[in-house]
Parts: sequence; C-alpha cells; structure tokens
Amino acid sequence: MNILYANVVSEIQKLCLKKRTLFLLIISALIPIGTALILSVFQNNVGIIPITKNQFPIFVLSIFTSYFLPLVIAMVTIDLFSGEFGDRNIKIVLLRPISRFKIYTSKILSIGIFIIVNLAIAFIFSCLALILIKGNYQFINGFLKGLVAYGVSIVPMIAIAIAITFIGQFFKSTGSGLTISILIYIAISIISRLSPQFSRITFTSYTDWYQLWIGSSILIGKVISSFIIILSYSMIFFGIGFYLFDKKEL
Amino acid sequence: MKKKYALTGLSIAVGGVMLVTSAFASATGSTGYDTYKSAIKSTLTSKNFTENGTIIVKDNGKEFSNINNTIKENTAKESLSQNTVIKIGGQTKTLETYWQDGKTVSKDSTSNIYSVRTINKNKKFNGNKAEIGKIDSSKLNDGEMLLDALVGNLQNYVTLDSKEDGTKDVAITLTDSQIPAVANAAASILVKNLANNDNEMGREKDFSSLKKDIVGSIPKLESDIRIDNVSLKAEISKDNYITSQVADVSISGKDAEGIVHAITLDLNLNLSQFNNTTPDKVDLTGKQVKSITNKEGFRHGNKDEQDD
Amino acid sequence: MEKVLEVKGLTKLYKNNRGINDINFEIYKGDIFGFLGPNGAGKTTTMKIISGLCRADQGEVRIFGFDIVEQFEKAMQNVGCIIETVEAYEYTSAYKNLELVSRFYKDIKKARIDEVLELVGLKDYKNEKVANFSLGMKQRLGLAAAILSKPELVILDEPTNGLDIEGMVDIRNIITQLASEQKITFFISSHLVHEMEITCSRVGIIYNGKLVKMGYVKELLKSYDTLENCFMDQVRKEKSGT
Repeated sequence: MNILYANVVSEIQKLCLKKRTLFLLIISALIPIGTALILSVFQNNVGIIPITKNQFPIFVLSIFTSYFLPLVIAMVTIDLFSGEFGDRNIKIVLLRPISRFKIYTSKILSIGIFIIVNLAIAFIFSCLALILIKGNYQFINGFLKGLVAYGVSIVPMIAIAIAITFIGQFFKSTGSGLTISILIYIAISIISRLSPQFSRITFTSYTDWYQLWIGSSILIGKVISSFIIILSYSMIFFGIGFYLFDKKEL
Repeated sequence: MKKKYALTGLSIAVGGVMLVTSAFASATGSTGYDTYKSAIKSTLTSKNFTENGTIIVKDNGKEFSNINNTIKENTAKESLSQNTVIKIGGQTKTLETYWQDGKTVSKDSTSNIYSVRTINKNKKFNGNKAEIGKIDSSKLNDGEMLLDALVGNLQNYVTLDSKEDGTKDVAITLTDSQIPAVANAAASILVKNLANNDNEMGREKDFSSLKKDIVGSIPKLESDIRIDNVSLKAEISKDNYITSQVADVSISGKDAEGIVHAITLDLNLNLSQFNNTTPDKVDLTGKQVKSITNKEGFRHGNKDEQDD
Repeated sequence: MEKVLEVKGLTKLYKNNRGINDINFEIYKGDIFGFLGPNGAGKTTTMKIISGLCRADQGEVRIFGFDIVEQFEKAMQNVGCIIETVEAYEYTSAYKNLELVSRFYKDIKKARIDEVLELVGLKDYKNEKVANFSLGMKQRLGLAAAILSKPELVILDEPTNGLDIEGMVDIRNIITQLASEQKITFFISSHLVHEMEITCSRVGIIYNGKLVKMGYVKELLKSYDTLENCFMDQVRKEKSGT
C-alpha cells in the first residue's frame, strides 16, 4: 500500500475519532435546515422570498464559503499541525517510514477530503431542506447549478486550508494558532472590502468564485484569472509551509 | 534532499511569478468595474451633452409603458432642453422643458400654455443645478465608496472588452442565484410598497402625475417577488464618456389573484455631443404664457400648478 | 559483523551551549547497546538526530546503510522507537492507536496488534482511552507501538521511565526475550546503571555531550567490579581533564 495513501487514511481516521469532527459535520447539516426554517417563516408571514427555491442551495453555500467553512477548516487544519506539535503526538508519525513531504501532503489531502465531505453534506441537506420552501425547483437552474457551485467551491476552500497550514507552522497550540488565523482572515476581509485593488489580488476574495460558474454563461476569462490567483497563493503557501514543516525539530 | 528543496523552491517561485503577474495586470490594466466607474464619474460631471433615453416596461412581454426622453444640457451656460414622450397603455403624452435665460419653461401636450418660472438663484434647486460639478465630486466619492461596499466581490464579474479604436465595452449579467439575497429582499419590499401606495412617489418636476400613471399601471405584485435577471452593458468612448448604456432588469412575482407576472424593464440610453451640445430654445413670442411665482420653492409651486 | 547503525562525527550545539560533540559509534546486529549517561548528557539529542526528529550540525547517521536525512523512508523502514517520551493519541483507545501505527507498514494483521498488546501486558485495556492510562501503561503502549512492525532495530529512550519495579522487570524481560528469540537489535538509553548492566551486551558512556567510553559489558566488568564503578571512573577522568 502506498505510504502517502496510508497516511491520508490515517489522518482521516484520526479526524473521525475526534468527537469535534462529528459535531462540526452535524452543524454543517443543521445550517441548511435552520436557514430553510427561517426562510419559510419569512415567506409565510411577510410574503416575500429573498431567496427562491432555485437559489437556496447557493445561498447556503455562500454562508459556508464565506464564514462557516473557513472557520471549520481553520479548526481542523490548526489541529492537525499546531495541535499535534503542541501535544507532541506528531512524533508518532514523524518516527514512521514516511517522509515529511508525504506527511505534509497527506495532511492537506485529508483536509481536502474533509472539505469535500462537508460540502457534500451541506449540498445534500440544503436539497432536503427545500421541502420547507415554497416555489419551483428546476433541474438545470436549481439542482445542476447548485451541484456545480458546490463542486467548484472545493478549490478556494482547499486554498484556504493550505494558507492556514502555513500559519499553523508558527504555533504550537491549537488556541493561539486558531485565534491568529481567524484574526488574519477577518483583517484580510475588511481590507478587501475597503480596497478593491487589494481585494483583487487576495485569494480570499475568490471564496465565492462559484458565482462565475453559475451565470447565464461561464465567464472563462474570469474563471482562469481567478484560478491563477488561487493557485499561485496555494503554491507559495504550500512551498513555504512545507519548508517550515521540514525544518521543524522536536 | 536537494531535489526536495529544489521542487519546493520551484513551487514558490512559479507561484510568486504568477501572483506578481496577475497583481501587475490588475494594477496596470484596470478592470471592467473600475473602467465603468470612472466613465460614470466623468459622464456625470460632464456639463454639456445630449442624452437620448428610452425606458420600456413590459408585463409578460406586453409593452405597457414606453418613455422616450431627450435632454440637451449645457450646465455651464445654464441652459437645457428636454423632450419627453410617454406612452402608457394607448395614451401618449409629450412634455417639453427648457431652461433658458434664467427661467424654466414647461409645456405638456395636453395644453398649449407654457408655464414660465423665474429661477431664484438662492433656492436649493437652482443651487443644485448651477453648481453641479462642485457638489457632485464629493457626492460621487461618497457614492463610490458605498457602491464599492455594496458591490463587493460582484465587481469581479464585470467584463471589459477594449476595442482597437480606443472604445471599450463593459458588461455584467447577473442571473437568479448570482443576485445577492439582500438585493432581492430590497427589491421585493420596494415592489410591494410600490403596489401598496402609489401616491407620494413623484418628487421630480413635472413627473409626479406621470409617475402616478406609470405606477398605477404596473401590475400589483403581492408575493413571490424576485429579481430574475439584471444585465448592464455600456459603451465607453475614447474620452471616457459613456456613449451607450443598456440595462435590463427582470422581476417576477404573483399578483393578488395568483397570476404570475414577468416584468421587464429595458433602459437604453445614448449619450452624444459631449462639449458640443446647444440646447434648444423656445421662442415664447405669440405663445400663451402663464407665469408662476414660487416663493416657497419649486415643489410647492408644482403642486399649485396641478391644483389649477 | 553486520552494521545496523552507524553514527559518524555527530555534532549539534544548542543555543544554551549544551549539545553533543563528535559522537561516533556503531551498533551491530544482535547487540543490546546501552547508552549510559546522566540527565542532560546528550542521550536524547543523539537519539533524536538518529531518528530524524532533529538535524545535526555536522556528522551523519546511517541505519542499515541508509542515510537518515537523504533516505529517511528506507532508513526507518525497519526501525521502531520511543524517543524522549511515549506519545499516543489520547482521544482514542490503545488498540486504535496501534491500528493507526500499523498503516505505515506492510501486512500488519489485526492479530499482530493483539499479540503485542498481550506481550506488553495491555490486553485487558485495549479498548480503553489512552487519556485514562497511567504513565507506566503509556510506556508499555509505546513499547508495543515500537515493536509492532517487527523491526530489526528498536531504539528506546529511557524505556523504564515512570515504571514501578514490576514494570521495569517486565520491560527488561521483553527486551531480552525479543533480542534472543527474534534477533532484534536494541539501542537503549538510560541513566540507571544497574539496569543497563543487567540488560545490555554493549554500552557507551556519554558525558557532557561526549562519548567517553565504549565496550562490551563483559569486557568492562573485567576491569571494574560493577558498571557503576566504570561509569564513576570515567566521570572522574572527564572532570579532571577539563
């Protein structure tokens, strides 16, 4: 069995063994249902629908990609790096016949899988929650566009995970690493809001790049330029992050 | 070992080059959003131009209102002429307005009387018009910041097409789920209110009664109101003026009887003759003229006129 | 004799001026090599460099002929270790911990996990969360994890740390049993000189970051009554020398 694959399985198993992971996944399922409940109350009592049935899964996605998932990703990522260095149980893996490059990569891959599972749960439950909302749900405009939007969101979310992996190298406890990650994320979001120039070259502004995919036509040029920005940040953070990880001494 | 770090270094280097290139590209070549904003600014502050605009509102594909408006404006010379043709249902109404020799003159197609009003420079209305450039620059900045914040990441979706002759096309189309929920909610509330109280809508000169007519003719949407589509397209000249502005907005919803209405609003605006416009003048000799004195400001005077 | 571990000119200086200086030694197949020295002598530092947790300033380490830095995976393929402290995922059971470790090696059957748990005496606690384990139990679990893959070289840093007398005897018996039955080579560090004397076939005495004496326990005991006397003699020589 390939050692990289083996450690991906291992890292995922470790995630699954933690109660917190299950808790986070349950919240992922509850967010669409809660949102749908609020909307249906709104729909029945006020008579307006700020979000149509077709839009609903994508509205849920916007909550996920801009707030909830970055937070969850930060929690899991910081835990897999800072947390394990803090608890020193990173040593269990470091002493096995697996190179640090593969450890680093497999941790990111397993976070990637966690992200995919999280988005899948969010999509499935937002589809289920549609029962609560009145209106029409179309296959292409609703289901298919939703599926595409959730699918392409994996890319910026993994980029966030890689960036947080980089931040995680500077901390030896989950608490401080997480706090700093959140503060950095908030700071970048605020600066992006205030300065469009800054926003354009910051990959966190592309967390909602699924918007580019679900319009009446896909804006290929914008998709490519956004992808290049996301990719270049990922490559830089991956490179520096791995270098720091490889240099670590216990 | 060396290979490992060589790969790491390569990844950082390639990522860095890609990032710097795209950052440079976005810093030098401005984006569609910036181009659009800058053109709007220079067009709004322009003091001399001819504008021809049409707004067509359709309900389920049936045209029920069509407004055509031509404005020739020269703010520096304090002159303006405006000609508006409004079709609602089967009715057509024409409205002429002039700003000449320190007076405003207006006449609609229902009568042959020209209403003449002397502009008092101390009044707010006059001040606004006379100092349009000055006031607008600070207003525009505030507006710009507000716009940036509202638009947020949507600004990334404005496409820019720079043509060889120096003109540019910018466009943005938002459909269905791309439209922010806040905008959708705001539109729903607005449309509902529009249906519920159709008075107090007109604030602009000469339009209050017309607006009433228009609003009155719009089907009253009660539920399931939402924006289906918003699309904006503008052509920008070499001199950074907007020469053509097309906007389409589709809103759908149900009326009290549960009938679905798809209301579309098409705006088509053409601007031309920048710095080269001479507003028309009306020769009042031999015409029926009614002087209006408006001590308490323009709006009040307008109401008096209607009460006649 | 087949060289299992080869350490050449290992030097590492920490910022507080402590560290190790020019450590050289070799371990041969079948050895139970003891690394004897007081706390802070550099035993753990040496072992951390050997197992790849730390980088040396100078020198090289080869395990089964593979360089620990350049060919880490190959070097560590047949090595099991406890370095400094035993680490385990506290949020899960002893069994799950070993299952996680087993992924890194080929063909470790579930039966093998039960086998090592029985060997270290944790069979009855295999489904208990490690968070509830005593220090001694964790030490046993660490040993179980180190020998799980049937490695040819086992590196144990202070393996009897925190164990009571019974535990110490148990661990010693496991080590001698594995060495004689499965021909596993051991590299053990300790500051407990009697323990070393009973367990090891060869020892190296480390003091102030330097390897000051090396030899077969049997040979050393020809010149000294006990290993303790040998150790104290070396320490005396070092102190007068500096």
